[in-house]
Amino acid sequence: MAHTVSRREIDSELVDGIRERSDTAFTTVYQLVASDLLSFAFGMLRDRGAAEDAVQQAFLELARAAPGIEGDGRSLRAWLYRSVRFSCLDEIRRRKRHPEEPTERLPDAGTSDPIDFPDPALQAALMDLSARQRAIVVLRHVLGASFDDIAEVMGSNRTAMYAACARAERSLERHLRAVESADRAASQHVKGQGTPS
Amino acid sequence: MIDQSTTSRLRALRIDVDPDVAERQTAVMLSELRAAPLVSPPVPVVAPRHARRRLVATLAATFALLVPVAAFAAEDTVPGDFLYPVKQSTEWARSLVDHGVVQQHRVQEFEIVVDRGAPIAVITDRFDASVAAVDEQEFELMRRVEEARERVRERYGVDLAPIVSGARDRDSSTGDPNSGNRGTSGSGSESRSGDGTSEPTAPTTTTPAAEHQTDRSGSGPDGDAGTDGTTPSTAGQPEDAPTPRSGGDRP
Repeated sequence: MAHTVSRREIDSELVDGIRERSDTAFTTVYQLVASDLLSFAFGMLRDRGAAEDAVQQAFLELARAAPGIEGDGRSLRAWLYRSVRFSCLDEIRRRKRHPEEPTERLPDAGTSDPIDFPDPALQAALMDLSARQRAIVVLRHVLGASFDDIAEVMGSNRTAMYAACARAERSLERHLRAVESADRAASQHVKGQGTPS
Repeated sequence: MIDQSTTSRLRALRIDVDPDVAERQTAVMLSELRAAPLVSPPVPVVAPRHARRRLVATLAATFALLVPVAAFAAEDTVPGDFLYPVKQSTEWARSLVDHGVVQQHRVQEFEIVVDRGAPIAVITDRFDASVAAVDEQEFELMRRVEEARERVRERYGVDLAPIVSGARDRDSSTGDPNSGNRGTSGSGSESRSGDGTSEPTAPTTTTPAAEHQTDRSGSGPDGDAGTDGTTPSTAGQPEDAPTPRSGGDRP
């Protein structure tokens, strides 16, 4: 994928190593793309633990499907993104159906503590987008993916992704303004209450 | 386009994998790799769920396109044609809301086999079906049947039994000019009474005299409907339409 944030590519030798089920190739690919995949999943789910599970699930699927993987490094990267995206969509659907149940963690999943989101207003605005719009915005603006790469991950074409991204950006700006103005109003209200009459 | 400051804030959302988590996940991945069978079935690059969804969508779109096309193509079919079962299926569905569709189809099939020059057995079969289906009050359909029947007589020299007498009675009444169950008077009978072109020797023919007599006997007290030589087209008018007799022998 064309990255502005990080230009770490999977070359054809690595893809061959994946097909041959080489431990080294798997470890290298993990090191190359795990953070990108985690950022993508985290942007989708707003839950670091669930995002780590999605990444783990993608590499487990890769381990099972390794001999049949086709295409070059770009295809392999898109394959992993798609796998993460589907895991995220499953998790989003599960949350809608059973909002009260906590996320089931994979065995031997990561145990990193949940982090505080650095930009809660932006996070809230992101979560107001549809899952598809959120995926496009995260791929485009968090990971710096090109529209061709986004299209490959989303199973669409470049033109459609360009239009969808523009719509998602407008929605994000609108939601962000609404969230920030609500935050300002709330803080003024708190200040007003704290002022002695 | 998105605001530049928002873009910067979005870029700041990027996170890295915790080293402990990375180590643990790599170990799980490698153990799964060793446990997986050596030869896996080939999988497409497209993720399975995505491919399945696309396949279902393609099948649904194809089905949605094929059904109306097949139904349209089957409109002019007759028994024995490849798409006739499709026509029967759509006919059943349409007959739930439009009872006239069955009658129209039977008459249309009769016309088609006549126009195609089908064997007389096929034509007789479709004639029977149309007579059985058409309501006597459907003057327009009866007129079409009569016109097609006229064409049969011109082409084959065979005079099919009168429309109103019903298919079942045709054979039993053939060649019996005095038969009482030849049916009621009707526009078709009237049209034949004067031209005298029917073939008395054909198995399914009737003699003009017999029909004439039958018509007169069945035309009621006035008797004018059977004697004025009304043509089928003019007989299609509602005021000239045949009056069903009580105890009629329609199937």
